Amino acid sequence: MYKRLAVMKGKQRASLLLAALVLIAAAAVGSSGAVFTAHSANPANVFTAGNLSHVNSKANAAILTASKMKPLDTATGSVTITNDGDIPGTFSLSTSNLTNTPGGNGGLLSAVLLVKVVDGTTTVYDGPINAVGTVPLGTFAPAAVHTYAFTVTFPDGGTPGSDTTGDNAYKSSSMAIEFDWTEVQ
Amino acid sequence: MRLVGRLLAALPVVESGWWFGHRLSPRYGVGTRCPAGLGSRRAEIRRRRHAPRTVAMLRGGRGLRVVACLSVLLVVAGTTATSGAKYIRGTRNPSNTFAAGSLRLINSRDATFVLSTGALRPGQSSTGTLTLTDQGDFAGAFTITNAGISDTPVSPSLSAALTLMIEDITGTAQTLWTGTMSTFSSLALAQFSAGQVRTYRFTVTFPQASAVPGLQAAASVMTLRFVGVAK
Repeated sequence: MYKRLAVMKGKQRASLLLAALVLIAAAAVGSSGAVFTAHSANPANVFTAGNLSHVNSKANAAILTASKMKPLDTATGSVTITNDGDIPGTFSLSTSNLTNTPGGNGGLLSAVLLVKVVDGTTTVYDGPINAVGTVPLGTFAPAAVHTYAFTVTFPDGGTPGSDTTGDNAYKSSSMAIEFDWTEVQ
Repeated sequence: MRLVGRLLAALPVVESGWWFGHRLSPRYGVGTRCPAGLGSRRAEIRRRRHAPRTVAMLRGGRGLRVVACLSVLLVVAGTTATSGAKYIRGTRNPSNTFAAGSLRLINSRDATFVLSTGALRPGQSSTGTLTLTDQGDFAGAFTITNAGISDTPVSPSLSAALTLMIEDITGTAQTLWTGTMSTFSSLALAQFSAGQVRTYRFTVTFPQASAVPGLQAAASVMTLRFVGVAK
């Protein structure tokens, strides 16, 4: 056999090699076990990030201001917060940038003023204006609208003991404060 | 084989933050050179040139870098997953300002006498006037109060013999109070609007009928206090 192959000329040897390869390929196909197949697809699986957003009806503006306040005076204002995002958001209210300008008798107005914040019929905060901290407001669904009514009160401290003490300490004093709304998903 | 090897060797060393078509976000703090510590691009090419020209070795080098970068990515992913990163949105309402006003009463005779009678004889009167001005920011309700009477001698007391009349003479004179000086306690004046000015006249009379010998050289000092409350 080997001698026969050896005596074959080059062209014949190449033909024989090709034939052998074809046979090997045919055998491989024959033993692959190919059967019926089927497949399906689920295309266009789209993923979109949610948009966390809210609208402040008085963004970058004051909710309420008051001048020439005296004991028992109140100031009111309101702001509407709308969740215009497409996912729920957890809201909170806090304050910042508190400043005081005392009057001639030295009292700090922020030490005496009270603020009450009401969402509909629910009071979310009622206490000193200088101690609001962070007030949780809850989770708002998309398109939820909440209107917060603010009331700032100058409580009556009674008849001052002198021209410079008691409520007289706050005469001509002023303060400023910022209300901040934070939404977190 | 050599051709393939050269092509792989010519591949640029990954130097940017782009991997698999996704850019690493700078906010996570990932640098733009990856992997770090494997030398510069020139050194890497020099290393490749002197390394055996086998695909396996060349691919091994790239694989090392891929593994290193994947490690960094995994660390980043882990950091992100545990950092509690969330969506957050904030709005603000600044400059909510509140100012207290002031109630200020200007008494034209503050800290001094309204009237002083020297050697007042029975049947004589003495008058004095003062002006009150509301210089505050609000309307105010003002009250005159008897802040104390001092008689010398205590008995018989001159204040029990004198009569006091208080009038508002801003317009047509209007008597607000009259009676024995010692019985005066307080008197509510008309409400002042901010900036309003009113003038009051005080008249003290020594009635003839009240004159008794014991009141000769007697003296009486009365202090009046004006108090205003913002309205």
